[in-house]
Amino acid sequence: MIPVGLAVPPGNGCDPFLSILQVTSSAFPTGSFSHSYGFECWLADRTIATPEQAEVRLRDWLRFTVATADAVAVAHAFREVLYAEMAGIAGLNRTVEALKLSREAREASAKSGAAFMAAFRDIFGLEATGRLAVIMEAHGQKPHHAVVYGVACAGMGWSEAQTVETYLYGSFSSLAAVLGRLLPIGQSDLQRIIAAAAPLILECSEIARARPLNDMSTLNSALDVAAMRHERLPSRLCMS
Amino acid sequence: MTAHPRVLPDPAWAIGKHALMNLAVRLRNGRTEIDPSSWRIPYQWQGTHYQDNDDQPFLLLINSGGGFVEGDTAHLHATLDPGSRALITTTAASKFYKCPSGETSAEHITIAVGAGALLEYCPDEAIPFAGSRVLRRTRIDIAEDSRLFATDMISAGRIHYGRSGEAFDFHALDSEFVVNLDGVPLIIDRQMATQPDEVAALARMWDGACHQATVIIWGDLPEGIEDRIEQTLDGLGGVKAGASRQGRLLSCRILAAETWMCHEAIHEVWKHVRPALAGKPARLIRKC
Repeated sequence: MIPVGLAVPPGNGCDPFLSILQVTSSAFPTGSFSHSYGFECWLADRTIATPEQAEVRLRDWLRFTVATADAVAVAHAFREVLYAEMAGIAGLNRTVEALKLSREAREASAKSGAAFMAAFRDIFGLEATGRLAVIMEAHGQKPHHAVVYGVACAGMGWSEAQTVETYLYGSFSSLAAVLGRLLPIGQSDLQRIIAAAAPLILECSEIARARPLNDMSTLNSALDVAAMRHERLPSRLCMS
Repeated sequence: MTAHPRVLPDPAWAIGKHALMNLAVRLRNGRTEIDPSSWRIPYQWQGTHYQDNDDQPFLLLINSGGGFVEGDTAHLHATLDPGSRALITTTAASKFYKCPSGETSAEHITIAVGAGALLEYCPDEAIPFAGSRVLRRTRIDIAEDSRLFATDMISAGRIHYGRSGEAFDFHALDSEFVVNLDGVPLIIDRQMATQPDEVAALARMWDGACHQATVIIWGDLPEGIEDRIEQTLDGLGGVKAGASRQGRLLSCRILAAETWMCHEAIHEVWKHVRPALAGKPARLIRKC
């Protein structure tokens, strides 16, 4: 266990490198390995049948769903901690939820948020996520993953760029790993897909950090359809 | 007496370029009646119909401009009395023409639905022509015990125009369809394709479909209705669709190859939910 004292802002002289490695590790308990966000439906109906098709859809998801919505929320949650004493965090959390059209998309985001919040509480004893929990409780809301992530990483003393880039990387690599379990993709092919996404991740980070709160949006209507249909998929391995 | 706040015209609005319609939807004479408290061309007022032969008026919104020329703007603002019920639709699609000078054409719809009131809002599709720049804002405010059937349909363009059509050939589409519950966002369906790579990606994002619709329903609905809706939509050719339910909220996303297919899919959803929302069956709305 990492001592609580390690998770302090950089102003106190702490290098966040090790905490970044830990939080972005697939072993960090967020439950994201069980969510496909509708991709499992595309696998079931053979819309995705090859690694190449999976890569195209993964990249589109990152660019046109995550970068313009959840990653924007990550950046704004981060700024809420540093510059606004979380005054607007409840409104941001509501916006994140309202942008998700399907029940499973909302539940996946809330479940990952709860898991992340518990992990930061139990592992790091982070003050920022403790405050977020109080605010969410007061507003009767479930904290969403993007919001918890932004708040927690600000509390860990990461930079905004590190926070948004690791969120994008973690989202992409987690979903790629889920597809790797459901499709015949070798480990090396999977890692090649993740490596090839690096420039896109940086581009998406720029997009997310420059985007105003009121411009949070998604374009992937076909994924909305898949996420809704996933609720009635007869045989499923993922929760969303 | 319910307050029916109006949007007042800005003196800078050019006559004929900036449409405005303020509607007060009132309970009166044992039925719901719609008063046009003020309007400006190119919106026109031609009264309402009672197509169900009961207390619910149908309003066919008329924009006599025929479409949005570059820089045109329209504002529709309506307030429904508690306990009232109304259906608002359009006489034709909202056509957004090319914007060669870089200006944006805009459509703003705001509707407040009172407690216990029913709004059925089902406008025709928005069609962004090649070279157009489109801003759309639809905001519907409901209360916990309101009932709502609201649709938002967007086409990729003039699909069958000329030899190869004009799908996804617009410059920018910034579209927002929001439902607030007691002042808090319930659904934000915001789609912004304002960068070239975003417009170029839309054909993939819509999985090759040329028309997209979102249907938002709020009310007491029968158990399992979302399953039956999706099953019905599965039986329609040229349509990919899903339905999702969370308590009183039901949302549907529809992708379709042709305009009529998308209209049919929306109508099928309406057929499922209208008996529960309005206590009567869906009907084909007469527009002529």
